[in-house]
Amino acid sequence: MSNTKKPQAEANVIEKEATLNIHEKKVPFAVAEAYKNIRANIMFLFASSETKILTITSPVAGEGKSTTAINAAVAFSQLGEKTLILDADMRKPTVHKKLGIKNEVGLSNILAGFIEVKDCTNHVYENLDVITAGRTPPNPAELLGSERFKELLDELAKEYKYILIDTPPVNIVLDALVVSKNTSGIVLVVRDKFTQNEAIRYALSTIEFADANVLGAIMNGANPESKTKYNKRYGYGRYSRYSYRYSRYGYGFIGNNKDTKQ
Amino acid sequence: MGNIKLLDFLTIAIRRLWILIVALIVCASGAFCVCEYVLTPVYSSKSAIIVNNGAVTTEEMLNSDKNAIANTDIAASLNLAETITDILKTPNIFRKLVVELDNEYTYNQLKGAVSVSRRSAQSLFVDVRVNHTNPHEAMRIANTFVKLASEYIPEFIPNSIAVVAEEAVSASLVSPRTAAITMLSGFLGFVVAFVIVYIIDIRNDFVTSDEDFVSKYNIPLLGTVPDFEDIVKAKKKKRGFSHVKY
Repeated sequence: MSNTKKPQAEANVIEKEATLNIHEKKVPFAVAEAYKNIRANIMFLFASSETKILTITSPVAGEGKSTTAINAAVAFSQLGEKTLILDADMRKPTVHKKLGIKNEVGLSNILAGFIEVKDCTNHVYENLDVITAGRTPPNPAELLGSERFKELLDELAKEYKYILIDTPPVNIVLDALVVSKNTSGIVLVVRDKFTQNEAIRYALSTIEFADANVLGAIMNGANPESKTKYNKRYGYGRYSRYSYRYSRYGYGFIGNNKDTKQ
Repeated sequence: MGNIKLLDFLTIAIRRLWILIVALIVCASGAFCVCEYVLTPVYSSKSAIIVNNGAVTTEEMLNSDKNAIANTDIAASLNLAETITDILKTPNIFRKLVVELDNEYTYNQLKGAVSVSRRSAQSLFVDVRVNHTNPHEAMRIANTFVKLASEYIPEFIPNSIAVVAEEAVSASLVSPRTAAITMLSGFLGFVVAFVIVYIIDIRNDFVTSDEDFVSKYNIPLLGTVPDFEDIVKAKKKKRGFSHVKY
């Protein structure tokens, strides 16, 4: 965890539940590069927009959308841009677990009017803040579709350049579609050899029916030795060797020097 | 399921080729082992008699120019051959055969082993085939049967002649046909394995790669993230990097 100052609420660390993200040293170079590539592609999508608000969802559970949202947000923050992760999955929140922070107050409390934004914003890394989901309310979809949520996003957009919103699977509940009405679009996360084509088709048809915008998809769990044309751009083996050499000089390896911007 | 394309079959076959080849080898090997070591081989021996209606001697029939034999005699002999073939299938001849073979075999055993047929519709030859697990016994039974027939027929049909034309001197293996069964089993194993693989593939219907995803859906792929554990395994496989800890 970064030791930079936290002007907002305390971020209590629950170390044992935290999972690796690309800010950590242990994450392979290939994984970190993958998220940088995702970052670059998303930036191309929003060449002219000021604030980019993305809805991250998946067809079903277990495809890694929360991890994707976190790592993509870390990648954006490493550009020096203020980034926010908003956990809008109030039914089964996981962002706080993956980052090792508590979830006593969060989005649900803000939308219910019980708390202010600054009182439940967690500062986890430099340029990266997190608003967890908060306690599970009885009416998540209504809260996300409320005017208060739209106002919240407008308020957050003044402070943050990138806002990534983690939402529940779109095939299970429609929260993602409700959220996407106030965002730039939906990024669909799928997992190699896990997500069924039928589920993807259903998700896309649901999104299309709701007249929501699909910005693109991210595939998790890809085979690093796959020879598809998309993987060939990386040449994982080759670039990781360079990274290993350069890291001895303190260059370019994410996590080796936390203050190094990429 | 939608439209089934030939390309889908080929794609599945190529992707699971090792399974199909293993199935082919296993089935072919199994069939070969069964044929060679389990199944009892069966040999077949053939002998033959030649018949005529007695108007022309056998020597004349075999040695003379056929123009010297009247067509009516030939026609009569052909009809006789048909009749004699049927006679040789009756129970009486087999009972005599049982006695002739010193009761070594039962009536039913000989009835099942011996087959009598005309060589062709225009032939005076009547073939006798005997199937037995012992090639020598097959020959012995075939020769005994035709010898018995050559004596029995003239008693049954006066003025007819039945002469042993061919004696059984060898027996050929007729069962199991190891080569054919092995190839057929291998082929069936391949086909069955393919059907199973295809059904499983259709039922699973997972996204299999980034190219697979892009080809199916008209949305941009913003990126692919490799599996953390797969990366570690891939790194350890490469020479010189097993000491690198990630």
